[in-house]
Amino acid sequence: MIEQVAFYILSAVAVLGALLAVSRRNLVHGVFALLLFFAALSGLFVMLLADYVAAVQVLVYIGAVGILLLFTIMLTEHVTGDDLRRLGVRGWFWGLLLAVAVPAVLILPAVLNEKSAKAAPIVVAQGNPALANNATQANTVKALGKVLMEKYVVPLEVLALLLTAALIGAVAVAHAPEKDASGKDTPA
Amino acid sequence: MSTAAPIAAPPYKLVRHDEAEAGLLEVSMGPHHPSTHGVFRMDVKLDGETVVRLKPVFGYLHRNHEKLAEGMSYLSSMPFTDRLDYFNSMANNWAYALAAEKLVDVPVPERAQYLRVIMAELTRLVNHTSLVGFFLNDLGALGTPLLYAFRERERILDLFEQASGARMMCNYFRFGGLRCDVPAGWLDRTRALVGGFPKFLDEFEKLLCENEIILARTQHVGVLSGAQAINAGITGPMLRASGVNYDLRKVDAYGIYDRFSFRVPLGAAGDCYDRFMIRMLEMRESLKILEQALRDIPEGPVMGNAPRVFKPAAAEVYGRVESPKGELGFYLIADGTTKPYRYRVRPPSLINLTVLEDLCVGHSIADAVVILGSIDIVLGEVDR
Amino acid sequence: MIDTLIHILALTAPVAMIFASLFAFTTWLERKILARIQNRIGPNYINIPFTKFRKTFGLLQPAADGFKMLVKEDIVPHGADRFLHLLAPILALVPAMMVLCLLPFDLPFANESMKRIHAAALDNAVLLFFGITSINTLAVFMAGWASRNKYSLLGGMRAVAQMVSYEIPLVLSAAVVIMAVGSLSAQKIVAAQSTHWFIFTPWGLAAFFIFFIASLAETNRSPFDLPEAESEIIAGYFTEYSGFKFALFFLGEYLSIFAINGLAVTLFFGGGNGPWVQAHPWLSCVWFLAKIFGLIFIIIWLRGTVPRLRVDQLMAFAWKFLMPLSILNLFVAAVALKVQQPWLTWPLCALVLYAAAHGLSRLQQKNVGPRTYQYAE
Repeated sequence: MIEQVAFYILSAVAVLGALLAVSRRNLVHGVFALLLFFAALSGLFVMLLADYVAAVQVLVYIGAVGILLLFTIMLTEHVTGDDLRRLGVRGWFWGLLLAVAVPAVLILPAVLNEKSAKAAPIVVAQGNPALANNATQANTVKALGKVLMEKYVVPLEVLALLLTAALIGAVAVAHAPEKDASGKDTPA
Repeated sequence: MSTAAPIAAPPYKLVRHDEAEAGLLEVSMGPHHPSTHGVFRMDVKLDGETVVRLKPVFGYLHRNHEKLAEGMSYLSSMPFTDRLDYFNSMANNWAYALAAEKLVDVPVPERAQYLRVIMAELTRLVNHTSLVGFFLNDLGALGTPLLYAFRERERILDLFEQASGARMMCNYFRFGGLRCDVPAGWLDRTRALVGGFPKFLDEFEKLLCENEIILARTQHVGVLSGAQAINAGITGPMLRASGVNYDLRKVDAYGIYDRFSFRVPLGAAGDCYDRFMIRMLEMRESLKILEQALRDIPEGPVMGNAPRVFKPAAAEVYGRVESPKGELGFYLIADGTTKPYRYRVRPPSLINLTVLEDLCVGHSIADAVVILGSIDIVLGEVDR
Repeated sequence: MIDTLIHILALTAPVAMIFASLFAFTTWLERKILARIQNRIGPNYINIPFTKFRKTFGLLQPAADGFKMLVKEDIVPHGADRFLHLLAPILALVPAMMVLCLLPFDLPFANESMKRIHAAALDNAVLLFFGITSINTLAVFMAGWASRNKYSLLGGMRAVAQMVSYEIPLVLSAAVVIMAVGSLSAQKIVAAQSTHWFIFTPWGLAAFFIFFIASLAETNRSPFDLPEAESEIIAGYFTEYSGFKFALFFLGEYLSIFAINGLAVTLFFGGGNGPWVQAHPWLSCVWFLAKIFGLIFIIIWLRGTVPRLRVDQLMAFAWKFLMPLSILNLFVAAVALKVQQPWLTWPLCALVLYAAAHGLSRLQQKNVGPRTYQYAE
């Protein structure tokens, strides 16, 4: 019973956050609504018994991506978020088409496929939520770790290289240009 | 007017700000600010965290000291000189007394000379301990060194109160001597204080001078070269920290300073750390002077034969002392009456403050506070 | 469903109440300790009203402070974002309270089978802890932004940069302990330290130092309290907060100090383990709190003693010193745990870590050091 109530509340908050995120005039409010959406999403992950993913969702999306978005807004001039007009409604038809088509492509196969619809019900432990994890949890983090290190180690290393390249690129782009004697900026 | 010809467009382009500075953050630090040592404002333009321009704005404490002195007799201005640099009232008094004694040649008795030196060096101790405390407060050591330094300052202020009746606004000097002699036992108490002071200096040095955070935050910050300091007219410990050997107690040898042997510490790099350390070392030299003065002080009167009515002949005179903050000078133009024609104070804090922008540009805003603390200003002197 | 809710409430409410009252005690403790370090006495003025009892040692000062905060006028600056201005202190407080439930704090009442009851015995408690404390960063930023004040914005930016940089050494030093235990669960970590605590191993000691320093930076305490630097930017990101919202920020900061110190105690000091705990299980609660307060005492001591670092020195310290050291520590710990021979690995690890720390600190600032001065006659 409580699982259903929790699911409804979390989903409602997620939908509300997403709607607010795209509809706010004030950009900063929009970003905070997006972070609310991420938090609700992490709750939904917990309900799917993917608690590691839920924790990482909070850590990465709310703690890092959210801050990145806020810094971007703050450091860009004239985007203080107060004087934005609503985006023009010229492309509304194609926007609506995409908004319907993308979720359909993602969700419909899962819904129509009988096997997958039965295999992953949203069930959380009855009674004490704290004891729920013990049943399947020991597998989550350990299983993820084993799989990452044994089966998917090459993609992991490639990802690490990619992230390092991105980091170095970001530092190179953001590095203050050296000024030569005349005060003009030399290309970095 | 409706039928007049339309006004031609201006031939110049209207530019609101300096183009390069349009995107800078402008912060006004002060005048109400916990760390600007008084009502002092700095308009700082920041590029991120780095200071690009700095404009000091003062005048919030201007009290018309110089004009008021033109309407009063010479001796009536003596209490007002206390309020110039309100930390070092005795030094202000001595500078004014020195200038006035040049106008009317009054010999000062020996005991008064020795007591003047003792008071001036005690004042130097008061100022330098307070400065060390405030400097560390600006660095973020939330008040602990400040309160330790004030513990010592309280003892010296008690001595001042016993001698002159007031802790800070002493009004003790007169033209030709001092107002009154020190009470019985005062010299022994001063000897006890001077004997116990090195222990406090050792404790401070041990706790602070090798602290890595202080080293990292004050070294190579606010570097002032010797040539720049001489050009700007800097005096005092700030000048000596930049390596220039100029101490008025040696150069002018006013009073009886030529009878005492003491050294003048000189810095090499001219950064905040040097200014801080020079003051610590000067405290030790002051203790040496105090010991010698307390040993040699004779008995005798403390007031010379000053004329009853102070009416000097027309003359111009400049009297200066080495106040703890720099060269404090009084320029007097007498015109034969009992009131000065012109009375001008050379405030060391103001002159030392003129290089603030040069020192701060290129550093971060946190450093600007530290640099201001190391210059050691008092707004009473800056604004008069 | 109701009994589930009551069950949850029965577990979390005591934690909240205990730590909130400890917050009041900690403010008193901080003021008294700082005062004694500074050669003063500290608050001792508030006495019990309508009585003549005078020797309260200032213990009622927190109550007076709380009352004052409640009745102060709530000022929101004119152009400020009212909604975010209100939301920021709440967002600073709620994550701190949430992570307090994750700590292995044995509540001192037992059910019928005398089992220890924890507030939330999750199996990936440590990871969730780090995730939730990273929300604090957002609250600080929100506070700085919503006040529409240049000082607050500067303070907010500096605070966020500092907190994000110090999360990495924090997590990496905790990862050493997780690696040694093999689980993310706080209960298992505490159980693994029943014989010896992790701080008594070389890599545990290095990890504890890194963790402690990073936790000072995460909670904006001295010497990393640049965002609240009083002498520079007034109060930084909470300049414009008055009254109860300021009290909520304060509460959030202290609760996050409790939480991070609680995690440090769990990871390195054995949680509630201590003498006589097997005989009297309720003593583990006392030991846990005693260890937390030991760490808090050190934090207050540091606040009263050490000056503040500048922001670029702070960041250089995190990225150039703590992070390489914590990565090396992880590597050294992995080697030591694989080669299960303490007599060989312990001296070697200690040597490697000490050499690395020394070498890295020499790399930091090359031309800074004590000087000697010349004198002129």
